[in-house]
Amino acid sequence: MIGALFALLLLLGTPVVSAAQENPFFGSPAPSPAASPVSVPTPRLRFLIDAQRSIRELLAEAVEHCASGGGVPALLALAFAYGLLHALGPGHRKMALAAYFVARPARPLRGVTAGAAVALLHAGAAVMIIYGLYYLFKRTVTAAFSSVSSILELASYAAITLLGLILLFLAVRGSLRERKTASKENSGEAGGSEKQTLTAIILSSGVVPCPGTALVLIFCLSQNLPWIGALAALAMSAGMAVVTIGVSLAAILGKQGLLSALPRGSRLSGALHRGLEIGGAVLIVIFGLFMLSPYLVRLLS
Amino acid sequence: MKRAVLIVIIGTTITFGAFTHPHVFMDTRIEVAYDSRGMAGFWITWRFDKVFTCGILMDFDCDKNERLSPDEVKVIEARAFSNLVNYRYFIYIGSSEGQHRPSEVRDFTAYMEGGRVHYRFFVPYPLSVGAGEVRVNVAVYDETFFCDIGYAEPAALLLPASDIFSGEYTIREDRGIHIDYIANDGSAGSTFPRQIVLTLRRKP
Repeated sequence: MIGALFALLLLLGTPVVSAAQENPFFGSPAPSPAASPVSVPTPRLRFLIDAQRSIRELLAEAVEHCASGGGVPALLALAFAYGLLHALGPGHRKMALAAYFVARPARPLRGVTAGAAVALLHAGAAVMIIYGLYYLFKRTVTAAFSSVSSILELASYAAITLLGLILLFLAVRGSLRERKTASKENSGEAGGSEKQTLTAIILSSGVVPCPGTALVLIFCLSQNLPWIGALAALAMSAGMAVVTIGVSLAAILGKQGLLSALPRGSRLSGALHRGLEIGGAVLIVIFGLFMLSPYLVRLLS
Repeated sequence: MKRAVLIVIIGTTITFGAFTHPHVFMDTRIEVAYDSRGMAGFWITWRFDKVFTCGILMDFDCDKNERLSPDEVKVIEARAFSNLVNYRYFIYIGSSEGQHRPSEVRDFTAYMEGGRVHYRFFVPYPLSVGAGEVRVNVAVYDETFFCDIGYAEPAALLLPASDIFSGEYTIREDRGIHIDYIANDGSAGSTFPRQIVLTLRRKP
């Protein structure tokens, strides 16, 4: 019981220290989300950031090497590693994905699919926007990307909040029905509504383009290597997928393990199951609202 | 035990996803500027990574000569620098006068050197240096962590030769700024941004 309560507290009490990240160099000189709480890296994350810094320099050199007739495999391997490190660090909607799988029942395969889809969408959105901007307007790609990203982020956070509220409603309704009927077993797999909500969380999370991928694409375009850029983005998304799939599986298996540690069909198991469903949904709502807060503050001020 | 491991996995998963991550990497060099009374302010130079450099060149290097003309610099200032006022240029200054976040900088320029774009600008911070020592703390970091800002090595701070003033500096954690966090393993702790601690004095 203490373990279950602790797990729930962890889920509900986890501090979300970052607000929406906007490129601070671009945009109009109006109040921005910069006044959000500080998020200086923890010492434990420092090594990941330093590794990213080094690997991005190597990646840039590899692109230049390709431009002068060098090999592509080394570039793709570096892009994969950069994607992996980039996603190992904070962000990439891992929290929304993990909270979803804590809240809703799912099999591991669904976690693999969702993790891969989010990573692919995250990088794919960057490819579409950067190449769209470049070939349509030719210039001011970086600044325009920042503006488009801001709009998509706003839409994404609003959708995540809405989805969290829907999941909360489903969880509370399910809990009330459960009380009226017999005790509910862990259902294990999703029905039609689960597929819809999962698709919604994938789309709302992944639609925000990855700024890291965008910068690599811009670099490839500057070297007149658009196809290499697209391949590098794909390799980056494969690297990111390793992490997003891992996070999804950790949430699914962690939840299953936690529930299976309790006697099947017991009141405690049922209570924990309901608690995780509601807690996960609440976490998604909190995450969405927190990420939306800078935009709301700006709107209201 | 099994349960504890699972709890840690879930907690780690959630916590790990909560933080932000950098997309621009830059190094800062700070140069002290003197006037007759003491310190007039700081020249700040930022050296950006290759990828960000490429974005700036693609957007603003109109003639594609990989050099930035005065006209191009003006556009960069307007469109890829002025917004930093909302971030107070990532600069934190502290002295006996109190804490200061600059809302105004001047003499902005951008240039290419070693294949990287550099920004350089002046931050006014007049501080008279009398008989005793004067201590100034300067920290440069991005609160939103979109940019990972380091200090240029080996000389993060330059003190120009002066007949009137002398000084030295150290880089250390700013224990005055307390940032609480929960680490990836769920343990709580604190971290502190690195700051330059500058000591100035009037020569005898």
